[in-house]
Amino acid sequence: MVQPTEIIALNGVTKRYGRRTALHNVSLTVGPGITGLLGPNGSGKSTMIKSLLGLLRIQAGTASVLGYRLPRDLRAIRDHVGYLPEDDCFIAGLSGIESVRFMARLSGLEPVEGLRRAHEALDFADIGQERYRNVETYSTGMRQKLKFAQAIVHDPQLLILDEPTSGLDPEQRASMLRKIKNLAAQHGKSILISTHILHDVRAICEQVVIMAAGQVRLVDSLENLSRPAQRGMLVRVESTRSVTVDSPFPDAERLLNELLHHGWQCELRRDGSLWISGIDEQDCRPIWLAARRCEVQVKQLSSAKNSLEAIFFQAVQETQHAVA
Amino acid sequence: MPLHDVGYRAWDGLKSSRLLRWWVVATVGIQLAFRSSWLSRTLIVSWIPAVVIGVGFFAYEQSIVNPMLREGISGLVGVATGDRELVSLVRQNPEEMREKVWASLVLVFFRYPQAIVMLLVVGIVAPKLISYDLRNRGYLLYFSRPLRVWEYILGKSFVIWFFLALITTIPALVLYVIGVFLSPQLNVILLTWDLPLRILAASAILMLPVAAVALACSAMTIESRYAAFSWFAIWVVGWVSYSVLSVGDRIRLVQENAATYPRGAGRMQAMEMNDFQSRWELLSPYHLLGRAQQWVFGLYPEERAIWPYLAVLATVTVVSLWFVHRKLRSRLQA
Repeated sequence: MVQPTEIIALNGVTKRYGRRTALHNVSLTVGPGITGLLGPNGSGKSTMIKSLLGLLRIQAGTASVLGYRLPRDLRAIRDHVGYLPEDDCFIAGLSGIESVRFMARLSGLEPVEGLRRAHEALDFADIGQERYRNVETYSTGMRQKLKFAQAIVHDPQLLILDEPTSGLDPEQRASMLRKIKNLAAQHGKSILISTHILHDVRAICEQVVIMAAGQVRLVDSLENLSRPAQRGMLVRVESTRSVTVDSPFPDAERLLNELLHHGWQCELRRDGSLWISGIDEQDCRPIWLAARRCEVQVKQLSSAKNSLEAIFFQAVQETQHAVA
Repeated sequence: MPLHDVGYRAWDGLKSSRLLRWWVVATVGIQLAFRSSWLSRTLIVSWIPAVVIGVGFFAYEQSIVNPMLREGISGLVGVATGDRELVSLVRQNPEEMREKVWASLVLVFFRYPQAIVMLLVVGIVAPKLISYDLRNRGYLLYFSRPLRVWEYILGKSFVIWFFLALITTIPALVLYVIGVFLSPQLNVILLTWDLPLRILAASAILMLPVAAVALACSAMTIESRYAAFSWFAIWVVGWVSYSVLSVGDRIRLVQENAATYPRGAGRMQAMEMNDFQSRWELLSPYHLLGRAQQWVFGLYPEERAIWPYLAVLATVTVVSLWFVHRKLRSRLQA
């Protein structure tokens, strides 16, 4: 199946729970690849995901997933989407393999094919012999992996993963992120990840959507977001000299004076790093020379990037101010 | 980890019809229910009455060819059905009364032993069907798949229908086949051809409201024990309400028929068997189903109206299903 250019398209979507508006006139377009959906609690992420799956009825606006319109093509959407819910959910009484096979069969796989595919999905999700145990005995991490296997068992075109790494230990988390990246890179899956963990987004996402107070605050590629507003380099130096109250970063200050003396535009930041404006990575030689002249050891020299944390907090704070 | 890790593999096989997804829900539900050892035991026990009624069929057919047995068998028919008129007719010509006796025996099978077994089997199977999915949020897994709410309800209902068929429809049909095989003439099939159809209809009248009410109990709570309690409570409260409220009707009946029936302890019993029918039966699920099944087997008095019973059963079924649907939808909207 050829992937549409617009994986998810929302236009003026509004969802209310009684008097509370969970999604307010949300318009959004998500393309192929891995998209991170960020936002504080209650920002409307889960509501948006549930609306995309037709689990919730939207009150206004139009929405389409993989080119299928909601709610008209709901079954087709669910046929082509794999969903990993945030909530701890399972079918009581079934073993791991039975659960995944059940989901495969609900998605239309024949019994034997469903079983074969369930084993493949569980292998991919790193669930070994535990698959024969009742799911009620699973740990949180195991249940998370099980939900992942259930989400991929029918080979969906789009995966919607709501907090996929919650409850996983660091090793399992890294493994899960690798798998998600692999699905997108090697198998052409489009993936929407809703998470609180900014590190996960930075590690695997190509596009970021930030939501706050039921509205989309920001949609852009991670590359664009990481690009700083102005050109520049960030320098961190090794502290070798004694620190005083007047001079908390003596090494950085020496280098700062040296650079200013030679006409560079630079400033000392509160964390002791130096921000040098107007240069790129290929223009770094004068910095090394200046460091040698003032006998300062450069620990890190990198092109400046915006931090995702800063972008996230800025977007959320702007919303809070707007609401206030 | 697998010995040979193939990684993720794409799948592009053929999918089954979307219209049959409810069947998947049903088969998994049945599979899960069979894991209860109590259910297996109850199912085994539930077939014992069928054997007893089967012996009744055998004895009745023997009485047709052996007049010596007729007196005893007609007495047993009286005990089983409580129909004194039928007893005297059986004494005179058992062959002619075969259809009515068979229908009465199957009705007895439905009404007495299987009604109790039904209560137990549904009490074991049904409470977990939806309440577990609500408690463990399994509904998110179901409804993120191409499955509609009504298909889910159909699948869950089928689980109950299956077990009800296992304890009522199938043994009743087996009884009919036994009756045919034990009969001295083959033309018995022509005389009783409608009985299997009546068995199917009586089963439907039992299954539809019972499954709907049981699912409503299950959807009402996330605790299966509360669902089980409410299931049994519906029957007990219905029965007790009927018994208490119908006292006035019984007294009035006794007064009206004081001249017809002899004085003494046998009067009430005699009247109850033939005539007693209280409007309060509409409150008792057991009596409601009993009257409707009696009508299906052609044993309901023609002069009395059956429509109030059928109307109540239909209303209960529709309201229960609406409640289940609403509960599930409200869970999804939460």
